[in-house]
Amino acid sequence: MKEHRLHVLVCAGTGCVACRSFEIREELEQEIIRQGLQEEVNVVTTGCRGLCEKGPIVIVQPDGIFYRQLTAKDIPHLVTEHLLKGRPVKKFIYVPSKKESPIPKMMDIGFFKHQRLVVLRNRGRLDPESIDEYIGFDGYRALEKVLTQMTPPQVVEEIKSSGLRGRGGGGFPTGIKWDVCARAPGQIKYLVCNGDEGDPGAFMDRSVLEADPHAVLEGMVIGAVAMGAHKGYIYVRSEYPLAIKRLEIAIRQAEAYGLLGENILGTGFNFSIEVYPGAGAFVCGEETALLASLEGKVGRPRPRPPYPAEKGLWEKPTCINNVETWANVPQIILKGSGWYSSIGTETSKGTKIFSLVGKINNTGLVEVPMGITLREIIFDIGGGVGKGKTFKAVQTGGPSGGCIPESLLDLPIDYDSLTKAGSIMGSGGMIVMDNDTCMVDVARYFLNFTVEESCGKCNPCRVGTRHMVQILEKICEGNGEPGDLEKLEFLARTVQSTSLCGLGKTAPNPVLTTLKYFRDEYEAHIHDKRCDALICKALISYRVLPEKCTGCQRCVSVCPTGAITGPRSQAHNVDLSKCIKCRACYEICRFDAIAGDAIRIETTREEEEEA
Amino acid sequence: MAKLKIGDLEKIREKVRKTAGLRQGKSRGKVTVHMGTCGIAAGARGILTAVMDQLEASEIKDVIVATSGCAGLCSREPMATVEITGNPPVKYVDLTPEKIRKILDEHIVNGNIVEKNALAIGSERTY
Amino acid sequence: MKLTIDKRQIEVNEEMTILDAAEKNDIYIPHLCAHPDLTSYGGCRLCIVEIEGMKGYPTACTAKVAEGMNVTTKTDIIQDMRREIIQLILSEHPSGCLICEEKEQCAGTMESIRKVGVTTGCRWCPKDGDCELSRVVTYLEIDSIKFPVYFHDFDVEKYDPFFDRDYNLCIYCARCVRICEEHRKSFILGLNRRGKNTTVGPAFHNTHLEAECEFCGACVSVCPTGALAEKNRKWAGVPSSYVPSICPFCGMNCDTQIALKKKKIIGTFPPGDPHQSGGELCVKGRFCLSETVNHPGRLLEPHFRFFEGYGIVSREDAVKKAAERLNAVDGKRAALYLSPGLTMEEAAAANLFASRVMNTPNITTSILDRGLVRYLALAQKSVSLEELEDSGAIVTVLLKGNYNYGPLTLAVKRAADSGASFCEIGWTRDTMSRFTDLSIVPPAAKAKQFFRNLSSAVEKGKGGSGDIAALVKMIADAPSVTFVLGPQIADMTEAPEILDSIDRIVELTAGKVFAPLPWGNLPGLLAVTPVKLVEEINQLVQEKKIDLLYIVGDAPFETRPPVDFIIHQGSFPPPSQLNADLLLPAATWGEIPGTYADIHGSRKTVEAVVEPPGMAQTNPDIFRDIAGAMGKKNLEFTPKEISRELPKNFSLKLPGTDGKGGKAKKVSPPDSFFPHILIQERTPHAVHNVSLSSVVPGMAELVPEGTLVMNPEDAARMGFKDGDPVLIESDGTKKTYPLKLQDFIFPGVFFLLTHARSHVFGTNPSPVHLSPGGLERRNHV
Repeated sequence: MKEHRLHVLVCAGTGCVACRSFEIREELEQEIIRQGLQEEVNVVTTGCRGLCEKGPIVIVQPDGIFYRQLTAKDIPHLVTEHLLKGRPVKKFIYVPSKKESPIPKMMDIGFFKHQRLVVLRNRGRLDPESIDEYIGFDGYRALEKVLTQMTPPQVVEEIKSSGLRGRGGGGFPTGIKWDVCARAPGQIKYLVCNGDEGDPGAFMDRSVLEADPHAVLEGMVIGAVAMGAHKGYIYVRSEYPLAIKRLEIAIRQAEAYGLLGENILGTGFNFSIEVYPGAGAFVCGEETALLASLEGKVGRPRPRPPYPAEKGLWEKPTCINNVETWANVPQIILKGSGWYSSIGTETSKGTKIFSLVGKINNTGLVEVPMGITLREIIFDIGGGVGKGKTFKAVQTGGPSGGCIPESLLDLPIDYDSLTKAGSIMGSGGMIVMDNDTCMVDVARYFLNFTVEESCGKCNPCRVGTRHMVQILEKICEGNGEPGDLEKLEFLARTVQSTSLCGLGKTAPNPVLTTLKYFRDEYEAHIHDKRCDALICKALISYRVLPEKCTGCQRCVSVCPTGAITGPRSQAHNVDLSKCIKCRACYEICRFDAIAGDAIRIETTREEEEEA
Repeated sequence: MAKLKIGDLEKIREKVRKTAGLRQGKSRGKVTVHMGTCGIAAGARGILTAVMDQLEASEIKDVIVATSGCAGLCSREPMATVEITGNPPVKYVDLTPEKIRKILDEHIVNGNIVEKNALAIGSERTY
Repeated sequence: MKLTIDKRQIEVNEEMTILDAAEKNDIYIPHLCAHPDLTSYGGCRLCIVEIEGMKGYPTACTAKVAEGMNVTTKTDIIQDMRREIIQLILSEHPSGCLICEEKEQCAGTMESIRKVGVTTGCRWCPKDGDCELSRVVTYLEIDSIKFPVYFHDFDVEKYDPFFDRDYNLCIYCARCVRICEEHRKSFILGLNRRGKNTTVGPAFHNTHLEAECEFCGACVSVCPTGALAEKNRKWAGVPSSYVPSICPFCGMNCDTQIALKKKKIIGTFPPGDPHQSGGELCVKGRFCLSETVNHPGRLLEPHFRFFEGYGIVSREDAVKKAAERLNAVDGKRAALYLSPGLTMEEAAAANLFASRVMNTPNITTSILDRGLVRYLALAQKSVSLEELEDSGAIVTVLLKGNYNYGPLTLAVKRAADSGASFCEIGWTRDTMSRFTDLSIVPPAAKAKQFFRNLSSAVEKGKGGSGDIAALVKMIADAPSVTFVLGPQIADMTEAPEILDSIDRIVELTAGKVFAPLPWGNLPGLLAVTPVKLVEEINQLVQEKKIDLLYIVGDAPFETRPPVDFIIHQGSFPPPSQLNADLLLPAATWGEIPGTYADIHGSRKTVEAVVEPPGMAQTNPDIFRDIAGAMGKKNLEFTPKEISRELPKNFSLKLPGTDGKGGKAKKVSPPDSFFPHILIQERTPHAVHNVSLSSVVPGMAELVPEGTLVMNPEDAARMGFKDGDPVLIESDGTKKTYPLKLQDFIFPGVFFLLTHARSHVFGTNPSPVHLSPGGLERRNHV
């Protein structure tokens, strides 16, 4: 492809966007086409250069000319003069000051550089309790567009062609769900927002609800118009009191402005939303269990079909979507499905928010376009694992997801490639593990969670997961036997194939992926009684290295059982029969003792091997 | 607040951009304390109190104090963004009430960015 | 539509699940939680199948058939997964015997270890031989369980009457929950907690009594394992046969089937498959029949009251004595009291005996008083249950729905659930109450005025207090209304006036009526014999105009009336206070064939299925023997003779009530001396001459006889605790009764539950004073 002769960089930092830089870009693109320059001039959006106070900023390269504070009506002149005729327009030029600040720019920091904020576009700059600010940042413009320029089928079509897929984990094409619900017969339909984010380590939905609740509300009103619903519920887990509070404030404000409730924006359309707090059950994140809970019944899933879009809340057609899914809707309507589907991969469009947690340097919330690789997220955005440690695995999708090893880090993040690797996208939890993590222990941890949260209705999940935990605990306690892995695997596959709902069907994923990619660890636990990550207490022991110990007695003072003893200035000793492996001595030696490395944790069989 | 009709949103938008944009407003700057549940758990409420106290003690009346939700980099909470009119915003991280007081003194009163507490300048990238 | 199952072409004519379609075509797919009458549950996951075009393994019980579907129900992988799942179930369910190599040899010899009390294997289990879980295990050929056993170690829940609950055996099929919710609409059961702590049962771990269960037994019937087991049948084993019959306890005469084993009645079930049918029986028809007929207190030999007490005499001597006494008395100075539970043939035989042997016109039944006659007049307008269910509005009036009239309360619940407006006028709460749109607690002291006010409000179309106005509106808004009456009304002193008002209301609203009768065969009796008002005969007795009483299965007196000789003929001995002179043992339901009739004359017959015990004989046989001993040799009392006595055209011979039985009483209002209103509830649960509560211990828990009953709030306010003796005083009577607290009685209502026929405190209701009582020798019931 012929190289463009000029690149026009339009800043898309939050500051410039607030000053309509997207309009500038649209105008530029159209003007360039009008003047026949599209083969020669390329328009791209870039991140913030820190010149926010002079925005919107447009840079023309390779000329290196900075234009500042442009408006849409300046563009035709700019294109004609500079792009066509090569004469920069003086009155728009900006010369950045020579004195470069030593402080790094946001766009140079890995954590921020690679992110693309769509749902989180208002992050850090919006007071969530001010509806005016939300409106100021283009809020409710999409709703206005829908009410004045689009028909409901057109709205559904937009969502369909955008390629948006359910962000709650299922990845079901949202447009198709909206279509089914819109076509379902009957006057009464419901919209539900699933805010029962239960995955340990996931807090994407909480963030959206706390930081930008109006985005969700706007998305739901648009959905209501598209599908013909007049009542919506936002089901938020009661462990998120701030989210509930901010949602209720947002709803009141929207109602006062006539953006919610009766006669929305004077168009005669009615739609009201109610916040419904959950009551502490992970299984209520499953859609049929959530609907049962909303109806006042016990939160237990029911067999599907019929699907909620046909027969949901009180047997009426119900469109239930995740918080992030709803929050994507206003942007899609405003900027168009073409824009949205240009982000991401062939099958997974748009961006996804991940909560990057665990043994990672930059813990936080990241929104990235689909298709970015795991390596980029973990190392470029997350800053990699701690000093002296190596990356081991990343768990995606919470307790329903799987562990992905280093060898698969170049996998692009999208629904299908993650599923092929044995994991799932899930709602976006991403837990990073380093070499100090025992994968058998991880599988046990997640399965314990599922056992507690199982609703108890079907046998494979209620009893099967319990037996799986029992086998894993047996292995971690050093009592693993040959044949245990085969037993575990077949049971896991049975639970996966025969459970009634998604919780049971995905509960074995941590086990199956760790068995697939880290089988050697399991075998070491069973056959050699070794835990190389030094985590499983029954398989490790503590030892003082006499040649390194200076006898400073720091460890003696913190040992809770008196297992480690020794007089001052002489090498100490660990009495294994009293040691409860709490790590206190190890940590204090490392950080606050004279020697610094006199205590060693070993996995049991090493000594025997040496002997 | 009266109920809006089509077209009213644009008016609010204009009004907000004027005041919040710090261009044509009368304020000298804006301090935003990031308060999602993560920030609050790390102590953001204390930071907010310290900001308000410090500004009052220094008799500074033309700086807006605002809050927002979670700013994303949870491992460095509590965080606050300081923006002086005419300059890019600066994100300060790993804050304590003492640190933010010093920062406000240096940055708002004297106009110097406190390098050792600052993470970055500029804004994030939206599409 | 056509589909393929296991390469076979199947055709079905209506929408159904794959499991149903397979079953109808004799293809077995193992399942434990599916039930033909209930919604699909999909909990056990055993019925997984492969459907071409669908990924995964959908369950046959939830997947509906579709045109051209191709289903495979059995592959190696599916069977392997089924075996895995059943082993998961067995790891929680005591399975000691299920997979033992010696189970065949053992089953024949180890029949009676069940009395141990803890089920750790099949031989110990009440469901041994009848268990659906073991059938699936056998089909899947399981011979070992690879998972460790998690024994829940729950205590067996024994504190409810009629059935025990051993949740160590529960496999979480939730059939009990669904049958209670969807079929009986009582909503007593649910799944509590979640995950491995899940349990099935009433919420908050209440007992069934605390949960206000009606003990219909539907849950016990459908439980596939021994988790829910009838106490009375625990050691009887699998029934050898089921025989159709009907229930004799009330006028609904529900169809049942009797479970027989070794020539003994061991239980009764609703019609249909005993393991699937939730039925419509109430607690009496479902649980009390076998206990009653097998009761050790049955009268098995004739007794005569000698000077020093009762002694057993031979049949010949007994008959001779009876004949001697009957011959010595003039018919006009004898009286015959008949039970309202006798079959039509028994009643006809009694009629024959009365007219041709005793020559007496004094025939009565102890329950037929003025109030009941008026009630019967209304009852003759009763519609069918189908018509009741079609009503737009239903109003129940003093219908005590707990433990009574299963099909009736179920019809009301079904109607209310599908949209009929429903008002309950009453003093207690029952499983219908969750469906009420309006609940009215009528003032007991002013019941007569209340119904009069209601009647005039209906007439005018408005007026009355809030409740009455709301009810008038509810009726007016509905396209049709049915009034369901409770026989409790007939027991009240002012019954005729109250029933007049109700009749008027029915007329004004063009409403329908359903009035159940709580005695086994009252219409049958009234169609066959000319029965007089009991007040009339009692008056003769009190005025010493009667010398001999012949009581057949009835219980007219608590103490001995002033007569010379009392013959008592029944399946149970009469209360000892009666001091009857001659006791003759009679056969009861199940031991004699007979016909029962409803108020409109439609008849049902039952067969005899067991022999009468001991020396008991059927009533006609006893009459034959006595008639023969009295010299009336031409009367054989054969079935043929008796059937000639049965009327061709059915009509109730109701006695007139004008001027009979003394002056009508009025109910006094409460005053400062007697501030509380006591409602007497005569326990109608009777089997001939004894009340069920005295014969069936479970019934005594549900309907505690000889007690004062009130709501715990009132008791707390008045300083009473459960079980305290309470002194009840009225103008003229003073008696102490123990107190029982029941939650389902509305506050402000006080009941006296008694088997006495007369009004203990003068009128019903009556103003009384309640105060703490002391220990006192009680000789009243």
